Amino acid sequence: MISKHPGILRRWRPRVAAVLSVLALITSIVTAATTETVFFYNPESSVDNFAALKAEFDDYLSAQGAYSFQPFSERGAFETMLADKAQGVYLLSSWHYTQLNAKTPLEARLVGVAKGELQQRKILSSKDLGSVSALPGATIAGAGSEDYLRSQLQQMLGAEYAVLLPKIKLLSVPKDLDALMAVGFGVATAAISSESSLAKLAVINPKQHAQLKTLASGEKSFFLIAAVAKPQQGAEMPLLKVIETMQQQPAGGKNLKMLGLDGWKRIDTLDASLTKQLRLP
Amino acid sequence: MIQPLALWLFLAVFCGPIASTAQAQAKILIVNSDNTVQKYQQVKDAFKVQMTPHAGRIIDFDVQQAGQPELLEKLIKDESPDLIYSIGSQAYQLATQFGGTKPVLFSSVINWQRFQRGGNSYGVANELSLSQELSLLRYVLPNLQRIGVIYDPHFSAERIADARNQCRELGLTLVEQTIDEDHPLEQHLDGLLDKIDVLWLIADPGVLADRATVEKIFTGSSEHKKPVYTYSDVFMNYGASLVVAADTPTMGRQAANMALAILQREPIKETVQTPAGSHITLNACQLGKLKKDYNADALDAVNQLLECH
Repeated sequence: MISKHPGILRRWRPRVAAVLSVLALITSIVTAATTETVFFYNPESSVDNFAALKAEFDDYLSAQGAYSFQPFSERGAFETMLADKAQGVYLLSSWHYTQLNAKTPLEARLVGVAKGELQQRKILSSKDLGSVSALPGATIAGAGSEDYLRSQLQQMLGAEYAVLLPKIKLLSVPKDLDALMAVGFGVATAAISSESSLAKLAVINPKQHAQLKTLASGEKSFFLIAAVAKPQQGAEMPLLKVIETMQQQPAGGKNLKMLGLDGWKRIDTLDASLTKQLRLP
Repeated sequence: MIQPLALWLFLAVFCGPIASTAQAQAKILIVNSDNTVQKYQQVKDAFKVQMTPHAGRIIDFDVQQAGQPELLEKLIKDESPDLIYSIGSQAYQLATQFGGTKPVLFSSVINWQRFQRGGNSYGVANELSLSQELSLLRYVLPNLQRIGVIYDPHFSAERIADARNQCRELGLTLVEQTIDEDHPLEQHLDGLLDKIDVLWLIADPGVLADRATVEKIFTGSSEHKKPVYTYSDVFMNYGASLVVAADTPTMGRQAANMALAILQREPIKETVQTPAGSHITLNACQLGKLKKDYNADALDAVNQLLECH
């Protein structure tokens, strides 16, 4: 069509070329930038601290090299980024990691450490209920996305009580302590939290803690995972090293605390029984 | 003659879907005092996300944009919503004025107790429970045990009595200072600040009378190297060290859960719920200046972190 109108072709050729050059430039910038970016999404927390995380991590990472930090509040946006095969380092919850791995291959390289532990267990606590069979009609508070909370609850209740799930209301709150305290003052009937958060409540509000009893508990799962997209290009190695050694510097250690961690451990140094949990087909 | 089993089957098969359909077709009217207020917008968005899968239709009404409140009266008559969710004091007043016997749910209403409430009124309060407020203070600043509070007994006697009990349970010491016309702040501030580790600034209109008083409190606290713990980010500009407030999106989700319970005619234990989520702002820069430590393990609970840059 255009060849029939050489005038048009001549007139537009420079513009098309310019547009293509700009697109190529943008593509190369994006590729370069994403290789140096840490992407973060955690469905296990609803604390809206993205601005603080961005500011603190950018500060820290930019002092180590041309690196930046990109937190996500939406699961879909995070997964789209990953599906586009953007190179970089992904910080995500182990629950999300195992789900994602089925469709977008990732390779876990580091696992978060908190108080010397690599894993945590989620529990269901209540003040007034005697057993899980009394859950129909209950409101259960917990931190994280509704998807995450429902899956934790499903795992805790098992097949025997799966029928109760549709009869339970979920209330997503910013953090575990909020969920546990919501039970204390009657807004929720039960709370999903980590065992360590229940221990924190024992320190800050012993009376409320004493009123709670554990109704069910889930399986242990890893803290945050640092992963790279497969197949790896090796370009992420320097950035992974920066993340791995964060705890060695006060500013890095403080930033890790903002993620609820004290440090990282390399996956290849873990016991085989643990790594098996992360290497999915 | 219909057998009991057949009747039961009939009810189970036909009435069950009818009940869930009624809920799915529920019409909800959201009356927002002012859509341009970010906190109102946040609470509305969170409510809609939670409620949309369960509601047939959600109608929005912005009081400021509409200009004439009477338009709300007409809208309620025309649409006859199953439930009215009001955001902010103005919206709540109008919803109760024009809503008739329809259930009215509120949130983001400061000091909701000042309004008369009917039997069809439900809500989520705007202020955290004292227990949560003081527990989170203890969590973030665990080394500060003696908590000073200034209050006017005309406004806060009941709240302070409650706080006294809460502090006892939490192992904290509440150091109280009352002020009124005969005992002005100037006479007592320095004396109080000498005896405490942290000043807890509460929403007492007798104390927070004007800007000059607020500045006096913060200047005094800074001179005595005492951090100020309070309830609103507004005080960050004055030099507050820690603010714990209700988390706005959580209030929206709580309101949605209450709306569902109302529509499904479930028994509601607390007709006005305490906010379940907290929002924490930590001024690490100010604490550093005052040479006070905070609990680094609490950083993952902090929403906003202010550093000296």
